[in-house]
Amino acid sequence: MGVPTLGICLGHQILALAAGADTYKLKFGHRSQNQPCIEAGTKRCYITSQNHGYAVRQESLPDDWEPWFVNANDRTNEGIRHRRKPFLSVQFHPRSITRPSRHSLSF
Amino acid sequence: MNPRKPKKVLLLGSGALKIGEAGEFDYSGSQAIKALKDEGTHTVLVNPNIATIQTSDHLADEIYFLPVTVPFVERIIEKERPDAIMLGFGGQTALNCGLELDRCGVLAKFGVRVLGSPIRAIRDTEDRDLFVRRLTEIDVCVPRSLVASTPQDALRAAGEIGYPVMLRVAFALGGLGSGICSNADEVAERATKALAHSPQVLVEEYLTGWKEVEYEVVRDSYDNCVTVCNMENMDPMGIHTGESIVVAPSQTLTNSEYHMLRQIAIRVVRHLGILGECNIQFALNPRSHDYRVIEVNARLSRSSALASKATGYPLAFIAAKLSLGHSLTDLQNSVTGVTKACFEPAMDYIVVKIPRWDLQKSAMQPSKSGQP
Repeated sequence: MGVPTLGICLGHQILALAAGADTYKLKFGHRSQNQPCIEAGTKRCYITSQNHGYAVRQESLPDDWEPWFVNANDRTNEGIRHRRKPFLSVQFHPRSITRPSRHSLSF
Repeated sequence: MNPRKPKKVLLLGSGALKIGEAGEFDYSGSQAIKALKDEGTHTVLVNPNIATIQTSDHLADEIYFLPVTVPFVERIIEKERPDAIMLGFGGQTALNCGLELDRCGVLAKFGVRVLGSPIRAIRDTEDRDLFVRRLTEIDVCVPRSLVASTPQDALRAAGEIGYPVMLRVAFALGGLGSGICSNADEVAERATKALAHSPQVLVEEYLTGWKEVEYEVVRDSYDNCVTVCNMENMDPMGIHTGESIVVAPSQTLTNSEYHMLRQIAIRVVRHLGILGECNIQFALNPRSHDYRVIEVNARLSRSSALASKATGYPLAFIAAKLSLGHSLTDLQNSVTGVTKACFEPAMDYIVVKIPRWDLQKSAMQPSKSGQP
């Protein structure tokens, strides 16, 4: 099994659960198009669109996984990636334009 | 801590003299001083207006009640030896003075660093010729325009573009002297007046009936960039923003129009290398997605004061902090107190600015408003 995988939103949580990490219910879910997410190891922040009530518990990530994005406001996890294999996921919706119509991923 | 953090900063005021004149720059300057004091930076202020908040004795450490002009500011720099200068908080006067100080080598001579948007970015936004060239580099549309430095050139340009034309004055204070000309006589008259105090005018296509929309954008030194607020002028293109009814957020844009202009705003701000705050003005064709970038102001403006009021986002304070090297993700959102400044406020209310004309004060004046 080495199929490159990108999880988005619930896909992020499923990937985390499959990897052996936990999820938990947030006191305040993230439901807006102006959620700031910082890329791990940088000061680069992306304004993202989100709609979720649960989050991945960052401390519960197994050793071969690392955080990819963290929410600038409440420091919750917003993305994970495997240290060696092509498995990665984001909690937000990585779209260039937020609108209720079809569009392509900007990644 | 930032190793390049300045110890002593010179802040240029707006140079206004009357009570209440350029009140928006009194606000932005005061906010900047507060941000500097917050860092423990020694602050020197130049502003000739005693009737302002920023010249109150609890704010700046040193205050010079002198005109914001090169000869005076040079003497102050010579005496105070600040290691940095802030140009974006005193409107067009401060920005022009800063460009001039750089041009005649005063800043280099005394080793004064410019905080916020670099001189090159300011020049790119102020010199219309450079501005058009820089935006064309990233395929952003600007109005079709020709630069003229004599009234004869202006007439020739107007003939080429076709009437009516918009005549803009470079390095203009609050759009002063700019306006619509529908025939050759008007071009000649306006250009002659404008060229008496400005080195160049710009003759450009007049976008009749297009929507006028502006965005307030902040960018930090880590290239994080957010649009804090957008605003729509109820009056069409051609009426100066200061004299228009303005509503925040925009009321007639579709989601895709909003995001298209937002993306362009961010691209332009990154390309120009703005650091801190700026205002970008668009014309948008109401019947298509056709747009033009009218101008970028690499400074706090009347619009940013309105945007700050409308959103609660302290643009001037944040801009000052960003120019000292902070990142948007370090700074707190002062509205919530717990989240970060790196966000785009969502407004579930509208704010409307309606200009008020106190015509009773000038009984002898015609009761019709408009730029001279």
